Amino acid sequence: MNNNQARLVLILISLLLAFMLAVSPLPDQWRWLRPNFVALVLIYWVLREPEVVGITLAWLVGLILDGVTGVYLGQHALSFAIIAYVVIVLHKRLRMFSVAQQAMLVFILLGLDQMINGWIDLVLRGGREELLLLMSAVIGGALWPVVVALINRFHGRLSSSY
Amino acid sequence: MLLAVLALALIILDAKTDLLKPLREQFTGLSAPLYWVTSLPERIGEWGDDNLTSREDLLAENAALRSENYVLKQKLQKMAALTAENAHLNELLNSSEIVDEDVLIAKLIGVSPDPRRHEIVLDKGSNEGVFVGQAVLDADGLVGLVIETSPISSRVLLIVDSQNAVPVQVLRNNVRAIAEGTGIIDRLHLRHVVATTDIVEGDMLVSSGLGRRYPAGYPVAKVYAVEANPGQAFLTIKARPLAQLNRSRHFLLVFSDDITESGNEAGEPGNE
Repeated sequence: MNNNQARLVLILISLLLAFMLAVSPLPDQWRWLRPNFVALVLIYWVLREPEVVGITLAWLVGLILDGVTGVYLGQHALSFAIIAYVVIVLHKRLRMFSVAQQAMLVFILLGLDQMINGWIDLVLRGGREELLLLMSAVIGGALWPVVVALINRFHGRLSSSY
Repeated sequence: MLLAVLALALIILDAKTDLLKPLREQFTGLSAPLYWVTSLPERIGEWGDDNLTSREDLLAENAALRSENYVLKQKLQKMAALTAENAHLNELLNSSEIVDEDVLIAKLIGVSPDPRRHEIVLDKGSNEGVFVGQAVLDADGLVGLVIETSPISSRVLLIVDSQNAVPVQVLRNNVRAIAEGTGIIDRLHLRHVVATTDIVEGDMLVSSGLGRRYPAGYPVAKVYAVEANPGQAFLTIKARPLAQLNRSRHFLLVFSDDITESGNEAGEPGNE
């Protein structure tokens, strides 16, 4: 297995794990706090491998997440495409940042994702807007260093050789 | 840009029409293994509870279940007499007889990860005859209805979701109302109940069967607050669902002839 294939396998496995975390059962009150794991992993890959994981792939991953979680098809496709676009535009600068600085931007991107989905839900289904949702973005930002460290353990070996 | 427009078009298409239904069903089927895998830790715990208990515990549980069984049997004896009497009275009144409903037991395998949606995923699908619009119960009361099926799983909208409403009546005096979901797991609101209506705290609400969505006579909720505001035309009535919506692991899917045929009957009103 050459480097490219290994990288693809790693991307797939990390996304699959993120999907499992995204649907694993949680107590009712805690569901508000669950960060969007799929978005976190996606941001990592767009940042590290913008040639492999681009806006189109992000859109597709979002669509699959919509299907799996049973929300309107296209909700996460839209927000993920926007996130991927922002990360690609900023990726050269972002790579120079420290992990803490990156975490701030990740928090903003996850908050954007929550707000886009919240607005769509508000328009199409009614109900209340909950500021509590932004809490999950804060937790997601705090988890960013963990995600980077975890995937780097495997990814670092691959990228060091080219 | 193009992708964003495409996504928006998809969202609107999905929200306003049924065109994307086959695609959604595909997704539901494909995601069933994912939900199944993530519910594994819970299943292992359950298996452990079943298999790793001591003999004393099992004996005690057995004794408790046996005595419960006797009590239930005693109640059933009375029920048989009452059912016969009820059927006889109904005959006298020339009204249609009450049908017995079949049930299918399903296990919970997933909960909607989106906190704004109150939906659950069950492990029985169209292979077992589950259909969209089917009513779902647990041991204590009405839970919701099936909104999506795949061959091996189905998605259920709970009665407390903000998009759901159940026609109910008060057990005590048969006053009818509509119990609407609020998006909060332990609360239903009764809509448009005029201030003079006789509903008090502690009243039991059962499904009325109107609207032909839910079968009649199943317990739905218990009223816990009735607030009369002189400035408003309607009472504010809050009720707590009786079903253990966020605790139950086993659910009953109801098959009643009346409900399965509702599609045809609704199309031809006045035929009866």
